[in-house]
Amino acid sequence: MSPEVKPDSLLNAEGLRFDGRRVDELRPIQMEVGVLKTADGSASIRQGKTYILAAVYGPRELHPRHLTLNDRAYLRVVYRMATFSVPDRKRPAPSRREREISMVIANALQPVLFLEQYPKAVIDVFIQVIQADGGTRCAAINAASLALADAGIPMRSLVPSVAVGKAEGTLIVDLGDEEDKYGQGDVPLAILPGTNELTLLQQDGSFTREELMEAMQMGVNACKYLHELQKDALKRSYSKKTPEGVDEELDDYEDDLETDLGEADIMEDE
Amino acid sequence: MADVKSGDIVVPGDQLCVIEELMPGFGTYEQDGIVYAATSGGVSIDLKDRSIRVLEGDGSMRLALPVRGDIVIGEVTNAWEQRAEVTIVKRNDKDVLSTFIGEIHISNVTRRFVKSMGDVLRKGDIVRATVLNTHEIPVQLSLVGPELGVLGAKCVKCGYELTLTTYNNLICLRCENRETREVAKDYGAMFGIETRQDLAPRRRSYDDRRHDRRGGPRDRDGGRFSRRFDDRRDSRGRGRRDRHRR
Repeated sequence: MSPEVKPDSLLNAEGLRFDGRRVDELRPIQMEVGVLKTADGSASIRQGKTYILAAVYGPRELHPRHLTLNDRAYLRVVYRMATFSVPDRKRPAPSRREREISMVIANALQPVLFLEQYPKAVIDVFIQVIQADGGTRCAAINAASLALADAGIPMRSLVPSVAVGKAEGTLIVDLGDEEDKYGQGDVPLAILPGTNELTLLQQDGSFTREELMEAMQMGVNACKYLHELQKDALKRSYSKKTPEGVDEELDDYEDDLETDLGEADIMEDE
Repeated sequence: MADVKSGDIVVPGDQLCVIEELMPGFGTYEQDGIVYAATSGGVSIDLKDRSIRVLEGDGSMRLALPVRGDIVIGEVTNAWEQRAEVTIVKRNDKDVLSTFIGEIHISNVTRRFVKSMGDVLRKGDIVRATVLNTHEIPVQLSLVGPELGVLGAKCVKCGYELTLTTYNNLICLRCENRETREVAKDYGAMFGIETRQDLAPRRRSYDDRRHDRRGGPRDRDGGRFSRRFDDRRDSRGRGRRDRHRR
């Protein structure tokens, strides 16, 4: 990465951001499921220049044993930034920031998981930030929820997440690194798309009540779009796994006809 | 009818049907009377059961935990009188990504009576077993069946591979130590150890009891040696009592 320069202004006269996006526009997002061979579930996300890998292991036995919970599984999230992920080399020791983000991500994911189905087990989620360009905690939640789904762990829904920020008095969705650094604040949030419940809501900088409410609304709308992208990525992993998918789909279609006939029979009996 | 049909690819959170139509099975959950998908995969609707499940294309479950009926291979890491612990490394002929501990209770080793786990299984044995519980930790295992049992074992005295002679009898070719295990039908095939029928323990006639003096199961069932031992103790006791009387 080239040394950073502070942009002259984050918003230009036409209301576009310095990277040419509209205020409610997300960065280009690529999500891929099943990228790692030796993980039970894995996903990668590329959001602008941010690149994150998430790997899920488990449910498996929990070591050290004394952390075992007898009524539910233990969700262990580890968020790590690579030393080369930021312009200044990040020192490799786990920092306080990493520990906190791990906790925040665990709290955002916990409500969707049926942890009580797997007592004494652990679900390990490892998140590695390969390249950081703002919005890593949100991108990490997106990737982690995909990786959990890829591992076949029962969950209520996927968890889309996005950050809304403020630059020069205007609310903007999905902050890049510069907007994060030189903007006036940001509100990362994660939702359960089925019920619009929030599982993550943080705030940095000062927002008025109206601004915050509007920021949340913008975030929820962006999350809905992200959720569609997540679903798409997950379904794509299935079509990839069966190369002769076309034939199989045809077969399935025939089965459906049969099942329909079966049902008709039952109805007649009744 | 339901919002989906068999074979549809769904992702967690997709609405499948209402609870009155179909019972939620694996990979689904019910909330406020509506059944949703909990895992990604293909929908499979069973109209006989009136149940709905979300499974992989081949009808399996994606979750990393073993299910009932899975065949696993592992190493016995601990064996006690009543139970043994197995570290599972293979599940249905595929390496597992993170090993599990499996438990074998002595009642699940074989159908016949077993006095001690040491007679059928020892630490370090490689076993093939079947799983008895679904998606649970610890995994319960069973060795009942001709395909299941010990696949490889080492001599307790010298650590050399044991060779199978006849049914469940093994011999160490280095130190001629004889042992017993609950072996699988293909014992040793995985490690290239051939069966040696000719080394089978010779059957002794019931009159030939010279070897019983060193102790053995027959002693306790009223063998000559133990009876003599009992007699002696009896006589000694009597003697003491006699002395008392005097």
